[in-house]
Amino acid sequence: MRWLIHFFNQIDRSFARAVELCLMLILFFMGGVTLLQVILRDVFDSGIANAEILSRHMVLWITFLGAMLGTRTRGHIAIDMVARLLPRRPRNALRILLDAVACIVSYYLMKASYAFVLDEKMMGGMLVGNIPTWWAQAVIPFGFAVISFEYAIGIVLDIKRIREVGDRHTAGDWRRYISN
Amino acid sequence: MTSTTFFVLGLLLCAFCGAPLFVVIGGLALVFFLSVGIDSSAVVIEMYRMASAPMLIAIPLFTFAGYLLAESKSPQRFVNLYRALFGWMPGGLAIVSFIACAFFTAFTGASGVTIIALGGLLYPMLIKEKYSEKFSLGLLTTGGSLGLLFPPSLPLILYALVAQVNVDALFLAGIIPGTLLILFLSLYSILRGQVSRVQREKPEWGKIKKAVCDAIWILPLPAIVLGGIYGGIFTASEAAAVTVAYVFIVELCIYRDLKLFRDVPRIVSESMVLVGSILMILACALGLTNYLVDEQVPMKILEVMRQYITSKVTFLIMLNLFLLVVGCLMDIFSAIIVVVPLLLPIAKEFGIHPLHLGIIFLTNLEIGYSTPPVGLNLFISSYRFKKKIPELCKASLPFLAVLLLALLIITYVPDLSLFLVRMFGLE
Repeated sequence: MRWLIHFFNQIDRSFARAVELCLMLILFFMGGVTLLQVILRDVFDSGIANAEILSRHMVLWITFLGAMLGTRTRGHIAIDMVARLLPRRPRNALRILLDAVACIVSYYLMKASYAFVLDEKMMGGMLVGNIPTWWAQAVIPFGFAVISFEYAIGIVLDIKRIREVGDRHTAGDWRRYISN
Repeated sequence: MTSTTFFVLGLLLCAFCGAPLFVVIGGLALVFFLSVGIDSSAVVIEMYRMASAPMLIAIPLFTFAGYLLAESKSPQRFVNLYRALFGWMPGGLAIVSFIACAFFTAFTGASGVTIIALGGLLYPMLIKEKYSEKFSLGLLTTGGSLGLLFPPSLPLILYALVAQVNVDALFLAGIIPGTLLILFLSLYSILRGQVSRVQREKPEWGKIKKAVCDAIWILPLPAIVLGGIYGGIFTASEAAAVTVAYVFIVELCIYRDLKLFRDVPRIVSESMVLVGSILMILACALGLTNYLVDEQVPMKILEVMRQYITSKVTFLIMLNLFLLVVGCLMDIFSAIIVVVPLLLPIAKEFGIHPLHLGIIFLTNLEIGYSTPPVGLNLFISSYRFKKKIPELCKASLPFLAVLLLALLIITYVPDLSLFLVRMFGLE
């Protein structure tokens, strides 16, 4: 079991680093292209065709990649006053239950977006040049799949940890536990 | 109970218990679409509309620039400068705090970064100059959202996007009301400063000169953004790219506060998590609000309201009360995304200008930031200053009262919001 947790920890970390790297590249590329556009237009009276379409889809990517990282640290916007007020044990139970709801909803959103992307692929629209539109859209089902998976793993590890140490564990905090 | 009602109630209950809001909103959209027999992939078609909004590019870029500024030593420089300029006034340091908070909130989008970046800096200063602990805590807690009416704040961009108004016009609309809020709070602080005889500094030329030289690179930032947009050099979303480039060069090459490999990846990831969580809610809400508007929910609400509310003034009073409750229960981003599409057609019927509505909306929610039970500022302050939430609530009360007064004026004098817009012919 120990090696499995170690293995998962490695995968989790490398994946997070990879997502961070993608976010950085996309952000800089988007900023760079937009800036270049301003300079080309105001100084040289020209511009890059389709730059804006690309930038707009990059925002889509940033959204889903950022949300993946946000799920990892349970950093999503929520109204969590009830959970804050509860004692440790019911709070852990509530958090696990909510993670389960989040896991299920994200799964159905993943299914819906997968169907959407398949439809788009069938229609064969092109985003820019030779890049099919569905490539850019694929981040939607991918994002929801990762988010759903993150919640599922979280639930399993939280329950495992609670069975080991009981109320000393804080649900949602399993990442610190697997890295020790 | 039908299965639709069961799921809807279940999801709403989850929202109040602390489920991520994108899950609740996305879940609701799925349930509603299925209940009227539309395939669930239609929810995603609505989500994908996100990629057709050019203004959206501004959100990640401005947020990143704001985080870069907040993580550097620029807050310190900024405070030093304004302290040298206004330290001699009664309540001078309090005014400095308001201006600094407003500046950083405008650039970081009222995400709590202001309290984190400036709180630790200003709190000891305020205490040292003999401001009471209660006053200092109240000031910094409410100050954490002050400035979200100033361009290029994230809530302004988001409102423009959701309400489909011209963002350039909305930027202008916020300037006078935002200044009014600072002015009112400053007057209150001067009064308090006189009562509690806080220390003052003598103005010294040497100090002012040094502080100006130190902060010379960040001062032109608002001028670059506004000058560029209203001078017709670039659009608001391009202004975001220019801001990132400028801040990047200033912080990494000129001031050298931040290191490319040590700090930048961390700041990118922190700021993009925030962007991801806001835009994720936006994406999910596009499906939900589309359903609600298709089902003519706003019009149904309007019909009911018409029976009780006939005049514009009563509507505005109800609007303020309603928004204060919304501000207490929801964070500003989700509130804009979910409530604005429903409110907009109703407000139009009562003759309220969409730009004015935006300013009323944001001012209300700015107050909601520091009100219990979910005021984000309270939690961040509590975390930052290690104080209990009830104590912070009490400390914020006088400031909230002042802000409420300003809110009334902003609500009933639409010209405050619309004057600059008309002057620039952007109405």
